[in-house]
Amino acid sequence: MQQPYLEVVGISKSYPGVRALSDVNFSVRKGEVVGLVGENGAGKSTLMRILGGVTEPSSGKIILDGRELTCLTVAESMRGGIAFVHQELNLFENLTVAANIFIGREPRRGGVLRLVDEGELNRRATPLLTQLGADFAADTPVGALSLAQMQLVEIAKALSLRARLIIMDEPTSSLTATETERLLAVVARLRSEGVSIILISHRLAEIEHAADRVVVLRDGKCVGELDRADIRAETMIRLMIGRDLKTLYRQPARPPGEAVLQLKDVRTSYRPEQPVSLDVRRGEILGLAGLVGSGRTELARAIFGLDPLKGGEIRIAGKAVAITSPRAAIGHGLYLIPEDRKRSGLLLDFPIRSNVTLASMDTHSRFGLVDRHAEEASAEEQRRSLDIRTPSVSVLAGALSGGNQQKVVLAKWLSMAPKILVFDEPTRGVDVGAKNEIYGLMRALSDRGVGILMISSDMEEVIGISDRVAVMHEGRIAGFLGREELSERAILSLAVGRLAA
Amino acid sequence: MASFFRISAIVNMRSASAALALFFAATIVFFCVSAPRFATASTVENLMSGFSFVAILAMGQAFPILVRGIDLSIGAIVGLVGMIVFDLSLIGQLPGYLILPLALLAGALAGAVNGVLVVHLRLQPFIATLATLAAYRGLTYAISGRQLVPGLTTTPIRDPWLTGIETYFDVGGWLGLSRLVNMPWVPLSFVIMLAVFVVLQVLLTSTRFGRDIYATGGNHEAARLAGIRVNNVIIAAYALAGLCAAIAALIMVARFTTATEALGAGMELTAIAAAVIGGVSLAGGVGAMFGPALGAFLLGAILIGLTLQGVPQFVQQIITGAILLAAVGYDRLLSVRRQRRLTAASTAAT
Repeated sequence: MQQPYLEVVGISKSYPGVRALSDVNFSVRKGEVVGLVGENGAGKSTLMRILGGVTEPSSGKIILDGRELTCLTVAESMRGGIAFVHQELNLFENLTVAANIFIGREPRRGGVLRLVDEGELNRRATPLLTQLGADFAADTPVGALSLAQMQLVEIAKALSLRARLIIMDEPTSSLTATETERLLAVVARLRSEGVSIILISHRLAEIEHAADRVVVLRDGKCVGELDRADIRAETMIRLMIGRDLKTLYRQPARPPGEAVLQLKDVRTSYRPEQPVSLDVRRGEILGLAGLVGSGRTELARAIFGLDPLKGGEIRIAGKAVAITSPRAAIGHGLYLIPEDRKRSGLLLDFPIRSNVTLASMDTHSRFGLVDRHAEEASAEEQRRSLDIRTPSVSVLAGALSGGNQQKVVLAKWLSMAPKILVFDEPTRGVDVGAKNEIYGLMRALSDRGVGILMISSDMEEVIGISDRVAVMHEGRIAGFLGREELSERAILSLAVGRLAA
Repeated sequence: MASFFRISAIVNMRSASAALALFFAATIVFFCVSAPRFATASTVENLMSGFSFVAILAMGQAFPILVRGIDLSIGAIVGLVGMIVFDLSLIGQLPGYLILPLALLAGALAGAVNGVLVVHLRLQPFIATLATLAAYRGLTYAISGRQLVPGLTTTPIRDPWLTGIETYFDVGGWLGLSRLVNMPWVPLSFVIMLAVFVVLQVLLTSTRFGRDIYATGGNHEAARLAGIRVNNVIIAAYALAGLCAAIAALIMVARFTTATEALGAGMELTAIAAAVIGGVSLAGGVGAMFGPALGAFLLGAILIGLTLQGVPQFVQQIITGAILLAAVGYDRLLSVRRQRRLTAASTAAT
């Protein structure tokens, strides 16, 4: 048996009142891809911080490349060949790819002038990019790259530091299916070159596909280790949540009614030459699938009045309406739950209470004065009905977990009797347990007669909870799929521009 | 007061206000001990009459800062409004009771123009108001009755509606306290300042408009998506700053019984300093009215105290600058801490 490159033995980490990790053991061999899965809060981040040398473990030891250590420093971790590719990329968009890769380590020329040797910079960066199969040049500005390409730059940077273990934290969460496939190909290539990889992901299909071994964390403990042959999504989910996941899809209580939202030849400024027509019916969840860049978010923005319409007509409950601002959309009972809740959905340093009533000040104020009792009552009601886990509605929204934050965003609209809800990536960054709760809420809302339009890049989610799916491709609707026609294959073939089978 | 602090967006305000009040008290004690004739009724009177309008300016300045902007033009608005009052009264011979609302309207409009530049032309608040600073000051010279009508230079404004603002109340005498100690007379401008404080504080912390201000400053994008008319909120914030500048201008004109082209020059910096010292975060969304008002009086107490100690003017300016630096540093510290606490809480929650 080959000596593992990294071995973690009996690592524990306690914070006052919390045991973030207890007695975790795992190892990574040279050229091995280890999947690390677990719900949010299972201890993945703490473990990664320990490997990065940022956090000191309370007990246990780390054996890195044959050297035994009780804890790592950031410098030791780097020297030991550990590199991170984080969810949030740390790149300078105003600089070129090569400059980003060698930032702080630029080759110099010109003697005392110490000028940056641009030519040498690009010469050194190019082989790294070739190694990764990148389709862009070393002198491209990073700002011009897609997210997936930026990730390759991060990986190239890791390689330039002679990394031998690359830890990827949710690398595919913002990637489209094709981009994900390409990234996984890069992972395979790195593995064949002897680089070890720890892959952290919520997308179990990827782990199934790419990992040689999977370590499952739950509540700070290592609850399972699966070898290649045993890696299956259901097994991982069962270990992660400690119970079997019920099948996601729930039938609507009633067959869907008449259309609540109709788009007739709607043109957006994103792709004005492509008219979009679709209906969202009362009591149905219409999934809107497509690759990133297919125009789904742009369509949602136009429906919500964030971008001007370039043509066509929006009808709500049969009546043509002019939606020129979010305020107008809200006036018609059409609400958006945005993709990036921290940036556009929440006031993080406002209490939950004020976040819930933010959009419904009309009913929570009298003569312009805020009615705090009414506000408290509404927030409490939403807290109970949505099961927002918090000691009080006075807690700041920023202090909640992702799933609970999403519930607060939802609560804001639920207190206002929605007719149509547009969800943009409803469960991004939300852990498995809370995901199911949010799906349950969506179904409960549709059963109350709300029409739901759900944009999602998560195939499992689209297939799992939609009653019907519209697939977009390059700004147009490539096709609709009914419940019984739904499959990953059917959606993908529409999304890449093939006609519905 | 408890309900004033219900919004936890200003969760640090209570401690920041307490710290400021303590610092204010310490300053007073320091000068009482070290500066000759500081602990007298006339010092209190000077403070009230000389810094009430600064406090009003600072409270007005807080609104643009709360929506992540800044208004450099309020000193110029003071000058412009002062000159409008001068012209209307001495050239136009308009009665004071008409001039008062016109002056307030002019100030609010000048402020609203700033807001429109920021919102609709998407200019950086710093640049937009730097431009209007120059423009309003230039306009003040252009409409100056002193230049247009020779001979008016030495004519004082005598309209009782205008000069009446410079009135003092013998509050101590009414209460019978003057028999015991030498009590300061309370200027009307201080009473106006208190009224402005109460109105703006209630507006900010208990009304829907105030909530919209905090929401817009706290997260512009989320506020917009929640259907708040963020553009109108921002314009209103600048208009309020202009309105406060107009009130300050009226107080100053009443005091000097005239207006000069340079009236209010440089006051924007004192107002910004007082607002920041008063805990209005330059990052937006955090702050209330108590801090800026007290911040203005703190600066005033320091200036009066140093003057009594015989400290030269330029040293006073250095000290004021140092205090502003300390206040900005403290503001940074608080927001870093707030960030850290949120992150810690969020990590624990997941």
